Amino acid sequence: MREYKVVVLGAGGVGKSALSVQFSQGIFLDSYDPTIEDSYCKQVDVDGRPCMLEILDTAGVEQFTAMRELYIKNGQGFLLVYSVTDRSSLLELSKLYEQVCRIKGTTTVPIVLAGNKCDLAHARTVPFQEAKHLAHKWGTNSFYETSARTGVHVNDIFVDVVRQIQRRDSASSSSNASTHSASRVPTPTEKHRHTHSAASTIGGYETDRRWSSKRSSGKHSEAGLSTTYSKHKQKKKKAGGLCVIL
Amino acid sequence: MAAVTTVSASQARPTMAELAARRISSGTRNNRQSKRYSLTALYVSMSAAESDVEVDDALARAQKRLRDLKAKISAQSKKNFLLERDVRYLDSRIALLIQNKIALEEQTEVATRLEESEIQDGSFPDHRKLDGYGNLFFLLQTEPRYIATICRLLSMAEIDSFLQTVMFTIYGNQYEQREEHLLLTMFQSVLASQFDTATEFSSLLRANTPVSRMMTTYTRRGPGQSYLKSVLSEQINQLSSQLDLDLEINPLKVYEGLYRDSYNRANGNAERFSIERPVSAEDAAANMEVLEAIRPRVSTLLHIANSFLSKIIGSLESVPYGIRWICKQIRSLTRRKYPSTEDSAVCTLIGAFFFLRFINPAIVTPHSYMLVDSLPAENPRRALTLIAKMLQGLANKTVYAKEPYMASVSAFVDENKPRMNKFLNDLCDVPDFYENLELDQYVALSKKDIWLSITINEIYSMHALLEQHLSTLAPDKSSRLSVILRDMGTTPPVLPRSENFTIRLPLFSRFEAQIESLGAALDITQADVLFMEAKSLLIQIIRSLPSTSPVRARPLDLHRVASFAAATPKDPVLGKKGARALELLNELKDHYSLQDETADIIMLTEEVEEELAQLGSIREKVLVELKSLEAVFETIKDHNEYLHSQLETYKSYLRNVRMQSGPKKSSINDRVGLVAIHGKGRQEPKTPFLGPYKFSQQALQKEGVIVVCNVPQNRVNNLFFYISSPTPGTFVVSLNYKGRIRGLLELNLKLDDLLEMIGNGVEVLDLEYVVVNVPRMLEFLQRQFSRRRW
Repeated sequence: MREYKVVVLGAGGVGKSALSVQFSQGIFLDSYDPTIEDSYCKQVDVDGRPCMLEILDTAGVEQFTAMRELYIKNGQGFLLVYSVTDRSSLLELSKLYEQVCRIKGTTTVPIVLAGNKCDLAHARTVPFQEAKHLAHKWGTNSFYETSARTGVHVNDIFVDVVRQIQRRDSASSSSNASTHSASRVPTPTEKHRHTHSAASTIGGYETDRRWSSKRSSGKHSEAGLSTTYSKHKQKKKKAGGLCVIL
Repeated sequence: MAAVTTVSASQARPTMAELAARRISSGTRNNRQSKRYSLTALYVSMSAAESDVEVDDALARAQKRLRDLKAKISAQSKKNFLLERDVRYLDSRIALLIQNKIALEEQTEVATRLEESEIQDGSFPDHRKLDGYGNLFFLLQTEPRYIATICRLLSMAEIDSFLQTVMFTIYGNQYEQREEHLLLTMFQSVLASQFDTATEFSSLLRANTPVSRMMTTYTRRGPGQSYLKSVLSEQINQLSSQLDLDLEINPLKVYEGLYRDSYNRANGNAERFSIERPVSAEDAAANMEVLEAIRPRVSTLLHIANSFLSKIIGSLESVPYGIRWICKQIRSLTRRKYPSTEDSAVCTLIGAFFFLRFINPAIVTPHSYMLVDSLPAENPRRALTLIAKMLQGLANKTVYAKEPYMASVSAFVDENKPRMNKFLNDLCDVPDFYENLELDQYVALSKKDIWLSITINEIYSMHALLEQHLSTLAPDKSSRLSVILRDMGTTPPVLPRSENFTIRLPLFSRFEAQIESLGAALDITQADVLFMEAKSLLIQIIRSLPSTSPVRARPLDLHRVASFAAATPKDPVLGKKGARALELLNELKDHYSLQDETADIIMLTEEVEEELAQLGSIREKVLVELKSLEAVFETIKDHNEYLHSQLETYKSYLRNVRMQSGPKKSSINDRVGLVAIHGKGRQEPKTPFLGPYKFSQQALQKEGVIVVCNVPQNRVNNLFFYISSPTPGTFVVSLNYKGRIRGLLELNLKLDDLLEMIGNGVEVLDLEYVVVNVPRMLEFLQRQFSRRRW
């Protein structure tokens, strides 16, 4: 079973632990116990495949930010949590987002934006659209308003981030095929399963590949659109003598 | 409650007579003595600097060294704060540069930030303006409520530069009692308003707010740093050196560890595995091998956590006053707003400040508190995190619902809870400073040399903030703040960084006359002044005599001491002092009737002896403090070097990038273009040539780098790219076709040019065979090469 390392980030008191515990244990924590660093495991089925999530719940208290760098380096997907009752907690996420992108060296990191405490309608200070807009700025649709108390969208955010990790993995595993497979040492799990049940492993790989090719053909058609749109500009560029064909 | 009323009273500025009356009436039994007592404080605070110069014994020298050191630490920590801000800024800018999100103009801004050296000293040309600002900053310094109000109005983004001015300029002397007390008064006001606006008890002091940022900055000043070092560094260093000490007690992780070990032992032979994987947390927790492994670790953890706790509890007396005072405020504010709160809940809040925001961050990330040199290795790091979690659990009443395995160390919480609550309550047990503060304030008014070393941009930024928030800060148009600001006119624009300079801004108040004679203001009789002067002079004389001198024998005969000094021809200074002391003693005699005189001289003798007795222990204390502050100064200097080295790294990177970009006058066509494949390479000898790396056409298409491919479908599989980076910021992309020795085309790309294209809205680049998406291309190149490069 593939393991997914998900890191939960966000300001203090927005409900990172509450979301993580609600997801992993189905309990709502109503007392406040500031987190230093907690970890949870939970197995879920995503699109029919069992996945093991390893969730790292981090400190929101700013005094601990020195640890973030390490967390981000080790994480594969990120839940960025704010509270709909606290505008400044949303504002803090922009910096966090930049930090994630910087450490990962790309803007295409698996990220889900979650606005927690949406059950507290009377105390809301962040409109849905404002956060939606921020998500768009980050180039993602993965935005949910959640409630750790009622459980609304709690599963969805974790499943969404897993899907994003899978998508990215399958994209890079087929694109970097040559370099990647050479450098990658099989994990004990894989070796283990190779020796025990080679057939199932291969089956797993096949599903990956099928899935990713579907995905890329989708991208292809999008790309087609953008080409026609930009034809004019290209003409000009060529006239400028940009290309010298050998 | 009492605290708050005193503050507002001091804001209302009692008259001198009121102050003196209050002071005198506070001594119920012996007015004169109590008045003298506070006068001693006054006298000492006024003349501390001068009196040390006159005496030259070990104590005086140690005190002088201490003062110099404190000044250096204050100055250096401001420099570090500024450097840290620059590093943080550059860190994020460079990150954006790498992601190519930064506009060209901004690159220039980054460059100036890097190239700019120390801010120059300068002077303010306009004297009238200088006076105005002197007045304004005097008001801000002495009436902390203005700063407190601004603090609440600012956003997190604005707070850093504001706090810089407040903590390192306006109240920049970290060891000066008056400034420290004013700063704490400001804290109190901000804390109080946070309590006022809190909707429920549980939401208190939780979020990251300007208040929490203020607290962080405060704990990071000299005294907080030296405390952390003294109480934590030994144990943390000891733990950090034990690289093999695995104290993981999370069954799942322990299980994985066992699995890894067993896998290594089995050497790939699956038959010999004793355990299976993966398992659920419950299964792991029930596994016998796991339980066996955890048991000794739990007892080791309990032992270490207890030794941390004992050290912390034992350090009560060395916790910096300001930090204890903040704890005290948290307690009294909580009790006032929620009178029915249980004591344990109050302790939780105190713990949320003292442990969560002060002690535990230093345990979890000791490298960022300069307690160890680098990020601890995996095992020690985990051990430290577990210790911090245990302490946190103790300070807060942890429920083990989150991580059930932490219940295995619950003994720590159960055993120590009463001890911890007592410690947290003891922390709050410090005296208030309002009395001293009032006195200090008047001393400040009598001093003619209070000034700030401040940059012109700090002044302008503060002016702008005040102007912006004036209606909230001072709704009353006749208030001092309104009057000053009206006279100052509109805020001048902030200067470019390169033109910024530091000035010496003398502070004074135009609303209050300088106090020429403190004696008159405080209703001190001539006799009191004589008494004080005689006391201080006699102490100076005795201190400058060798300890073997017969006149130093107890009981002291003050007349004998004075005469002895007066009759020392070898030392004219001492002789003069002796003569003066004799005069004073005689004058004192004249001032009182006979019986009063004896009483007075006896009192004087007692006070001198008492003071001398204290001096011995003071010297010990000074030496201890010196030692710890020297250590602090060393670490601050180390940190400064580290920050400088980081800036150097950025500088060299940026230099590289800019070197690549070449002169700005050349057109885009000259720089992004295709060159003959066997044309001259542009290799820079100094930096490593990276690549070429091979990528298939499909791979790049999946990355979104290639948006259109004009090669027929059946030949696409034979199309591939070589990408290399001869120097940072330049990339050579060559398009090859399988079987052909020569490439189809080669593309020379430069970071700056690509940035410019994006800036101009150029989305795609047509390379005939393929069409490339420019932003995607950039991102891809950076991702591939930035890691390898750095």
